[in-house]
Amino acid sequence: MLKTVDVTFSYTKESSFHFPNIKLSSSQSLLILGKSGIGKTTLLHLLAGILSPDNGTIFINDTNITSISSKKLDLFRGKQIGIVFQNTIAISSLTVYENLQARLYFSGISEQKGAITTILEQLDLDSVKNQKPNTLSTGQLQRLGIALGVIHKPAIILADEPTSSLDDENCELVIQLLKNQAEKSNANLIIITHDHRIKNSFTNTIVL
Amino acid sequence: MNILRISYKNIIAKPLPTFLTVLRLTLSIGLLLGVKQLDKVFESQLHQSLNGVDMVVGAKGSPLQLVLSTVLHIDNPTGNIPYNEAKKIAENKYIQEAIPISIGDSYKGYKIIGTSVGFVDLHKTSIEKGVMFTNNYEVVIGNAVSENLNLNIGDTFYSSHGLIENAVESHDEHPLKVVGILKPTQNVIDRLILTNLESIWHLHEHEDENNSQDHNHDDEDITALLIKFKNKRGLLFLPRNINENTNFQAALPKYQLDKLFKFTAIGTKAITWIALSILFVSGISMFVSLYRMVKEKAKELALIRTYGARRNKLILLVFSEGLLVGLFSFLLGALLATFILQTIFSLIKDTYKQQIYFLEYYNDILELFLFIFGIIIIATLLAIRPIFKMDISKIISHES
Repeated sequence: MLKTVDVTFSYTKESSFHFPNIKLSSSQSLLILGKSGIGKTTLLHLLAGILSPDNGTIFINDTNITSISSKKLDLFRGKQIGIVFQNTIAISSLTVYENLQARLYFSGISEQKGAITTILEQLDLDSVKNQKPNTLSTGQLQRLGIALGVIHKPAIILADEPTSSLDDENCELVIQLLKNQAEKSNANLIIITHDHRIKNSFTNTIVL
Repeated sequence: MNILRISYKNIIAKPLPTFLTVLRLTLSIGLLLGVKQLDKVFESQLHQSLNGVDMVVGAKGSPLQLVLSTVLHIDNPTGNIPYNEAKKIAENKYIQEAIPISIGDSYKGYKIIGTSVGFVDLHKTSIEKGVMFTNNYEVVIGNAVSENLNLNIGDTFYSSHGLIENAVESHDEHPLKVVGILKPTQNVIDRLILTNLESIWHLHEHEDENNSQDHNHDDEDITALLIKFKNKRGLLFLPRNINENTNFQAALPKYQLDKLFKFTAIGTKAITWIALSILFVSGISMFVSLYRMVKEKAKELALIRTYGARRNKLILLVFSEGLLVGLFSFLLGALLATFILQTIFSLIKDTYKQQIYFLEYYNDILELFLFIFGIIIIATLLAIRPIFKMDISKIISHES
């Protein structure tokens, strides 16, 4: 469940973002469309608790993340929020499997037996589980990004431009994978993008 | 998965820089440990060997040579002095004890010293097995002599003229008989063979009869007198008096050895400074390595923050990387130093028949470990500054 009320944010005194209110019930998905520079990534970082809004409130599963301490927010982010980046970031010295282990370790989540293997199989990454990220293809790297965003079964999955560098076929595949994983975790999926190709895949859409 | 494992993976992912840092640290740690230990052992051995000898009176020549030959027994004597005249010096009111010694013979590289029973007391040891020599041609042997030459009570041997191991000219008319073995002291007496002065004189008298051209020693010559003063006043008056008014030479062992030690300490200090310089460079290279890791892996560290890790986890990650490199280098350095020291001590044992033990080595290791630990902490503290300024949103935005 996600609810934002009158969220504003400004990097400087001159420019300020005022974001529309969002209300999602459990396991609902949302597509946020907008051009570059409109504040899409800022909104994603606000929802992820990486940035704090100047005004307004953000509730995730009844927790007001704008009013809790930074320590609690870090813990909350680690356990309840999953972020999928446009260009996957992973720990370069670790293998695919170890990256997923590290994801759980830093979130303070104990590794469930077989959980990593399952997600690797679901995302067709089991054949490269012992490889380092820099040896993966673009598609494999994108799927690793999804695995890192969902392995801890978060309450909300935030995907930032997940399809912008992909062709049509892979674009559809990635959206489907994200939807499947969100469904499996019973999580809200929010995709922030300027890519209009995926507009029809979502019933809930906000245009910034 | 844990912080140490991630740090280990980070380290092995950059083998060349890690190897260079480890190499520099290992060399400096090994050098520092080794030099400090050698310095300690050398100084301790020198001072231990003095055994309260305040002054040595012998033939004129180098005072250092006189001390080295009569106190440490590692050089040739400066010559002989007439015993009758030496005895007059021993009667001086400032002198508590004067022990005569006569050096010149050896057995399989171990020096035979003609002396009095007081020589054993002077070296703070006593008989472990057997009895003290009382008759001519009876000898008491140091513990290392007994052990290394497998000599026991009742065994006999022939002494050789000269102080080298393979001296060929032997006194084979009179065998020397082992009557006592001394307790071990880890001191020079462990590698000496003691007998009375008369034995030495008789051995040489007999030889002089047969081969007077080769041996012109006076029967009652000795090599030196080892002197202990009653009080410090003797130190003030006697050495100058002897040096100015007699044909003898008075040398002060402590003064001579301190001079020698100061001379050798120059080399020790130079090596220590070189090792410290390498350590300083290693500390800087460790800092640079950690700092580069923080800067170059900023996006990975920001990612870890999005995983919910607090800033202290990132600091721990940087620290543990430094710690692993530091600990591994320390272990290698300590092993290297121990191996080299053991080799040197073993060589000394073979060459000088002197067993040398490590002195407060674990303290040195602990001290250096704390020092290295301090360097790791300083390098980490300097390297983690960007973590405090980290703007996760900005770093991630540039990537996505």
